[in-house]
Amino acid sequence: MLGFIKKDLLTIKSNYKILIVYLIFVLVFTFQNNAFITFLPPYLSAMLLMSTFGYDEKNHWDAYAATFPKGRINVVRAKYLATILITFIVSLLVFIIALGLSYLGDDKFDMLETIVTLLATFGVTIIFISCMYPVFFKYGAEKSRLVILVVIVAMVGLFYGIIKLASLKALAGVVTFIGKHIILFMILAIVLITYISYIISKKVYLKREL
Amino acid sequence: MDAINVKDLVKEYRNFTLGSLNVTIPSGYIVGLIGENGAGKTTFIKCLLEIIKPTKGTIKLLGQDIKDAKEDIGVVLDDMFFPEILQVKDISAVMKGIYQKWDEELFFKYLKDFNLDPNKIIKTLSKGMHKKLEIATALAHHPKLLILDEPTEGLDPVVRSEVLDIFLNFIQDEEHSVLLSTHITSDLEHIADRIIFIADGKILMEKDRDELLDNYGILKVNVDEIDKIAKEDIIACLKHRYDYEILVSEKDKISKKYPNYIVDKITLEELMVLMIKGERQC
Repeated sequence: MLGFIKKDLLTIKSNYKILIVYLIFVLVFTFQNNAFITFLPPYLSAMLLMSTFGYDEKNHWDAYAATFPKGRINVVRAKYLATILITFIVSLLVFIIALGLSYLGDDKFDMLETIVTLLATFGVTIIFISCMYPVFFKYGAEKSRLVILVVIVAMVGLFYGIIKLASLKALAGVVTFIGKHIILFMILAIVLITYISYIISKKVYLKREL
Repeated sequence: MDAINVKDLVKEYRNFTLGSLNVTIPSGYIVGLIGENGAGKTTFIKCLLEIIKPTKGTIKLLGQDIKDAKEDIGVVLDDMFFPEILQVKDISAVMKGIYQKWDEELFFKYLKDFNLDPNKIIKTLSKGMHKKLEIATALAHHPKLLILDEPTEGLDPVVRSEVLDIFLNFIQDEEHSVLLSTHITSDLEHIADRIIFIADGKILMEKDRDELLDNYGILKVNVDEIDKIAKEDIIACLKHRYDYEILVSEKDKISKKYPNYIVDKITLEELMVLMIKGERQC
């Protein structure tokens, strides 16, 4: 499976023009608003990984990879692992940078807020790709483009619904309980959603005609 | 041991059905798959490699289920390869993590032999160079079976000859076998042991190359003399402006039976054209 992960990372590396735009984007927004440094890098890293689906499709990599030992299953595993790994590493880097700046006396960073924002960004990003990847594996990158918009709208709707639900007095006890253990619940939700997404992706991709 | 053993293979689409096919390719053979576009050659190859799932039938490669044999299979597929933005050398970095027997040294040796620059980006390669890279990739993990779809397409005659020599060397080991689909039928006349001719999803003919080229021939008869040829001697018949080209088997026997006519040697290309475009009766 290592080879498949390498392929995705090398694809991103080779696409240096997008990487440059990515860095400019992060720098510009960080200078304008510090909150972006915790949000943008992890999210954009996952988007870069997602862009590899397009290159795979253009060159019919999926069909070619299906001829390799454990080809199909490793294509799915590698996409999930590479995305989670890169998003996590970038989140960690952002945290280290924030920690460094804080240590150097830069009081712009509230450490607890940074951790919660990073975890939330990581979570939202992983949940987003967890919604998208089964669609990509089922229909390919080209046909799935429109679905991205649908998923974003659905996620915004879902979060809005959760916030509305949380404001109900009847659920105040539950909200307080979750609030006390927010990090644990966030981690549990991320793991569960990612796992379900992976199982669906695996199932549809193993059956798919390439 | 058979390199490929296919039993009752069927792949159904809405407008096309492949099969039912039964194919056995012994180890040590180079087998050529011929047929016109859309005949089912690529569909057959895709079934062999689990790129698509057959509707029914069983497939064994190197005596095993396909998934267990993949470590020992090298492939060149028409239009399916690595993302084109990667560099040539990246392929080795990736394949090292996929094939246990990936031989980096051998891969770079092939690159050198084929004059391929490891630092080039794949999409900048010409069609011929791209094909050479696909072949180098297929060979660099020491496969026992090569499954190749149009492996010599886009190659100039010199490189094509080099590549065919590589395939011939490959099967010097009797455990090794090659299945290749191609429109360049003259390649098969040089290297194939057996020819499988697919038309409209069915096997129209499966014969050893020597038997096919020695046994079959083209009988040329003027339009006004066609009645002199017995119907049972005609396999396929193609009418031209002034004469008929008739596909016949048992060439020597036919030559003796019709001493006033010429029975020419046949090429695979002529055989394909006659079988596909020719009529059963003149």
